Amino acid sequence: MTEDARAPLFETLKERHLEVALEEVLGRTSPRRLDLTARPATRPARWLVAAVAAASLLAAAFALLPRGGEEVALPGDERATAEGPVRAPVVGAFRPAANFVFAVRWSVDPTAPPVVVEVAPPGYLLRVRFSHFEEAVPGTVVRFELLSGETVLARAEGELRSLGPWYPFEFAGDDLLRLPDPLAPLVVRGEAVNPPTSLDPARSGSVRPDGRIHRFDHEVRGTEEALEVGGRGLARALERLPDDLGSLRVAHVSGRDLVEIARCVPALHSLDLTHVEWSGADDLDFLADLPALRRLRVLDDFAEPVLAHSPARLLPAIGRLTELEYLTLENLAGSSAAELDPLALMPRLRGLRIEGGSGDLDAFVDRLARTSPIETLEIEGDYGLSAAAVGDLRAARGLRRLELRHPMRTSDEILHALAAIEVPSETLFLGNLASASDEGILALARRTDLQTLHLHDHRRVEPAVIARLQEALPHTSVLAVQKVRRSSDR
Amino acid sequence: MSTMTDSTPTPADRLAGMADRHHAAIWRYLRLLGADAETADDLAQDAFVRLIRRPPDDLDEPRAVWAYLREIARNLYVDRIRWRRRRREVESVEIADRVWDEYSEPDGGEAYLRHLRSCLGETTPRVRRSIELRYRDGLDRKSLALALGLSENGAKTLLQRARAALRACIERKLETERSRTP
Repeated sequence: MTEDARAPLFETLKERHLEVALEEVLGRTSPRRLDLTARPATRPARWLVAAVAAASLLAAAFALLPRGGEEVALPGDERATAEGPVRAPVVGAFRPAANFVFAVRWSVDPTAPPVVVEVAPPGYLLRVRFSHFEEAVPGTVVRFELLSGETVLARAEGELRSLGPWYPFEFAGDDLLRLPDPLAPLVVRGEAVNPPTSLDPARSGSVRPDGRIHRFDHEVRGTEEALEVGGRGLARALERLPDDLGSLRVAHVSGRDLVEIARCVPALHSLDLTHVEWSGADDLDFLADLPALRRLRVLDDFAEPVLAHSPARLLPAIGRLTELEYLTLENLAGSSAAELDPLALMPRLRGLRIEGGSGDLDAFVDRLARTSPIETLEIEGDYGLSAAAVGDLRAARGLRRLELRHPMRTSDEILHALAAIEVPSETLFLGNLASASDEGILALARRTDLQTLHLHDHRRVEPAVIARLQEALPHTSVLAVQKVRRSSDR
Repeated sequence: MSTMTDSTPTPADRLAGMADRHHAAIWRYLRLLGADAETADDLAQDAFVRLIRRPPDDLDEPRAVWAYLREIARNLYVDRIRWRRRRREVESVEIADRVWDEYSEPDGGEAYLRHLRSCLGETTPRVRRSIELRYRDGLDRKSLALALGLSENGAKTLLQRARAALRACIERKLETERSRTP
């Protein structure tokens, strides 16, 4: 990576340094007290050097399910090799509770021992730590037992908070655990104390094609839950979701499978479709059977070779959604502006983002401004938009946020048209002002209604002009970002 | 009267003293690398345990011990994110190291924190409040905007400006302090 390329990362890390310091200074975070129970002063010196990792693991025998839960295949019954004075064979075992799929992947990364067994003096155990609960559900309370043969050595209980390769659980304590038989296999047995029968609405995650929950990332947007399904076998995955699910992301599925969504999760109000392999013009017809749907995002693949049909044949299905309020269409490469026409007549459309297409947007913007209650409009792509069409936006009385992004050049003419819009707005984002002059920029001084004005790549504009604009708009945050020109740009 | 032997710190005492001296710094360093507070706690703990198990040859050289400890912590963190295949974060560790050197060496970030406190005292009440709501109370942008009577973008902008002002203030003070140090 070149130094130029690293510059943004430097800035990010300097910001992080400040944020970490702020949290510490303001008392939000501080280091937890160290627990140095292993210090030489309190332990026999010889076991300090005897700690051992059970390297390539392992194993897993797992107990029978109590009431019909799903067994998860684990690697074979391998035995870890421990170094040090005690060679402690280790066996991992896991026991999911009923109706709860809880897979434990013991050995995702062969270089990372998922279970570490630290042995102390011969016959004693210091600590057992677990890792790689990659397929767990955060919020689940899990109880573990550590057994040597039939003898329970220790118990631990805790809530799965995050998924990671580190050691979220461990058996450890101030006292060494004495092994009744140092050579007997150690068994780690676990079960979920609160097996979820439905998914916690405050969580988010994804469901694998085989129906197994495999990743939760706590991503919550607003108050919405967002679940993600994908891959082949969509119907099976959907069956596992609560039928009152509100928000769903779907990725890498066939268009013909989408119809299952309306059947399985009819209460959706937010749907995100990514990398769909479109198969026919009726792929999106199922949307009509989602009466609560208010937000829709379709990303990518409109122009993939697998698409046998033009987007023009898919978009009418979206245009017929009379209750839809927010629509995002990204990567519209290959589609023309004319094909967007069905979207201009949506009676409740408050937010629209279109990205990646091309063509003359004048007629579309004119109709949109006159017929929809549009509040947010974001346009990014190789579209043409005339000053007259920008002027038409004055008909959009509710418009609060307008973004015109690269590579669409914003000329002085357009700037004058934007300056003349008398609709009180909050945010104006202009992403490519390479052709704008000082005079065009200063025309924006009329927009005293704005809270935020973003100006990007205004290479022909003098810095003093930006300063004058800010002076003229004392109640507006004028954020001017100049593109760094490399020698090759000159 | 204690004997000479009695007053000589044991290796364990010396290691414990190092923990007292370096713990906060290593925790801050891990936070800068990208660890959340809980992870930084865990890794700092592990780093010290490793230090105790395999102490460096020269325990009497504080700089060497610190460098050794920092290396352990760095490796622990990199191991962890490698497991998660967060390659970009691995790449960023190197740059985080340079940021740490710029801001927080050789005192483990103490001067940075001192200047931050001072700079916070110079902010306007509104900026101070926004900072406290975000970094003390943990409000997200939406809640912050509500609390401040701003749009979400307005709140974001206010925080951006506040951070930029704080950084400039801290950097100025650090520069001044370093220019006075022989």
